[in-house]
Amino acid sequence: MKNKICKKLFRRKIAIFCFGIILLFCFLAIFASFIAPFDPNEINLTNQFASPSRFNLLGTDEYGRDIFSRIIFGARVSIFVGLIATFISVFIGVFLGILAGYFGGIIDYIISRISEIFYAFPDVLFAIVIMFVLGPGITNLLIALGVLGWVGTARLIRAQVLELKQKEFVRTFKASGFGDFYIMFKVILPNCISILIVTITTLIPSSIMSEAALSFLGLGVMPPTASWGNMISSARIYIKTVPSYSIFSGLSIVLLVLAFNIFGDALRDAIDPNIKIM
Amino acid sequence: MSKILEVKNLNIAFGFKKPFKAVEDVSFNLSKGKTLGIVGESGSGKSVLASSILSLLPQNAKITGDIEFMGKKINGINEKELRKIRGNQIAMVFQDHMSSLNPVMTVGKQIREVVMLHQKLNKIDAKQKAIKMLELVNLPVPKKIYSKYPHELSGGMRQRIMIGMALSCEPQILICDEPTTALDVTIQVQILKLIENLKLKFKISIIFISHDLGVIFEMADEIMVMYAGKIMEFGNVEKIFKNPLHPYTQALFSAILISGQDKKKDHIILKNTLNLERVECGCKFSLRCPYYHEDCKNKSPELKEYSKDHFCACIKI
Repeated sequence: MKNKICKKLFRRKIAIFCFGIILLFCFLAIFASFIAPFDPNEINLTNQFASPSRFNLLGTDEYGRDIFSRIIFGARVSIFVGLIATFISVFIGVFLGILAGYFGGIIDYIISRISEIFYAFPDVLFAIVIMFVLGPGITNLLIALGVLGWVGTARLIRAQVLELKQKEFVRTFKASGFGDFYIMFKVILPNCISILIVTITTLIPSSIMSEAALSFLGLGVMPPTASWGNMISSARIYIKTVPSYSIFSGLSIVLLVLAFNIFGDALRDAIDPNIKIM
Repeated sequence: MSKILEVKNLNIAFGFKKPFKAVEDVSFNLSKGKTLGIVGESGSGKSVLASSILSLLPQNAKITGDIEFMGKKINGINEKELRKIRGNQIAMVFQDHMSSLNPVMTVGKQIREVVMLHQKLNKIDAKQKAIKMLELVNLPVPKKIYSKYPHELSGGMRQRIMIGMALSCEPQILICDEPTTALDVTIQVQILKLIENLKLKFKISIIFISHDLGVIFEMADEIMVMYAGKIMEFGNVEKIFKNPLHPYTQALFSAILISGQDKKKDHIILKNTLNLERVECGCKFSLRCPYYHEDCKNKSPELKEYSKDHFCACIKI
């Protein structure tokens, strides 16, 4: 079964390409300190705004820091935040979604109302408020994104569980003497896996985007730590004189997010047995 | 003969404002090693009755009456006790073989999990046991089947696996809720034979639900004819087949097609369709009964003993 999914997935050239981009960024992020030619925070005021050259691959910024090195270290932050925030939201979302869907009644009522309250606020605005209260920093960023992201997952999982718990095999397992928690996490949850993978592949890029947005606003990762968001933030002043600065930092976000989205789409097509691709 | 399951005055209703009575005042006994067949058309309460034995009904079902397993009441007891009985003492096979198995778990693992839950075996022993069960239900190459997913197997094979899973902990009672309805006739025969053989091998009692009288005649020792949640006729299978007393039973029999049967023979054709809402008092079957009488509307017929091992609920008897 797993082989079939892989085969289906990699029959699409674009999926391989996107997977490659994701792997490349992950590779860069993991081995950032070995790959980066310069220390990302090394200030060299004699070399401000250098154009891309053999020496500084993508040029330097207003403090003479190497942009290529900063992008590599920024990838580390982005991917870390993307993965951990997604993990937190999926963890909370799956747990609450299954509880709500399986038990129904008052538990479902409470969880659904809470998720509706969360839904009622615009995401970014809510994140800004949370960051404002907690103060900037990566840990707080993760908390904010995790707290926001679970709602969608919980709703999807709840809907799926509502459908699955009517299925005959849930009754079979119940009639065989299994307890509620076994049925919830070992019978129903594995049946939600495809929907979960799709959620994860959409949550990761959206977390990366949110991280960039918050850092851009000065509420996420604080300078001098390199993050794509705060790089764009400082680059925007020089967009007319040194466009390459903004372009390269923006391009990395676009590339990674796009790669995740397309790969997620392809993955969904491969997993979902109802969709057949030639 | 020892009674293994005793159901006394069982009533099941759904909903609170205007409760819908799915099962009304049903009592029966199941003896060790015997098969009880329950027949009736769709909506007559057969499946609800079967599910109630293991308390598998949804929360809004209101159950009154007693269900006793080996002298111990098993309805209304707590979940923990129930879980020890489910699958271990009383097992169930469902009708829909398409969705009765977990699609994302290999069939062998599903049996293994049940064995591990009840028999406290470790993984390796439980796997051996699961393979043995697959062999017992006559599946070819059980070791290969063990690691297959349900969608890779045919309907008959899946139903065999269901039976294997149900019997894996050697229960005392097997409840078969229309196990062959979704299968074609040739497979049906194989499955019935299998159940019959396993019944002798494990010395289990079976509650066999079907709307196919032919199947019931083949399998059951005693039969119970249900209509709109009530027992219409109850008794020894041979007696009922030779001499069906209740008009509803007669109607069911006349609906069986037998090759070479005289076409001129009178068929009982029922009026109306099953409508549970309209019958408030009196005989549930009165609206459709060809022998309808004024009294039927007013008097609720009791289950009366007509001869030994043959009971019927009709005022005409």
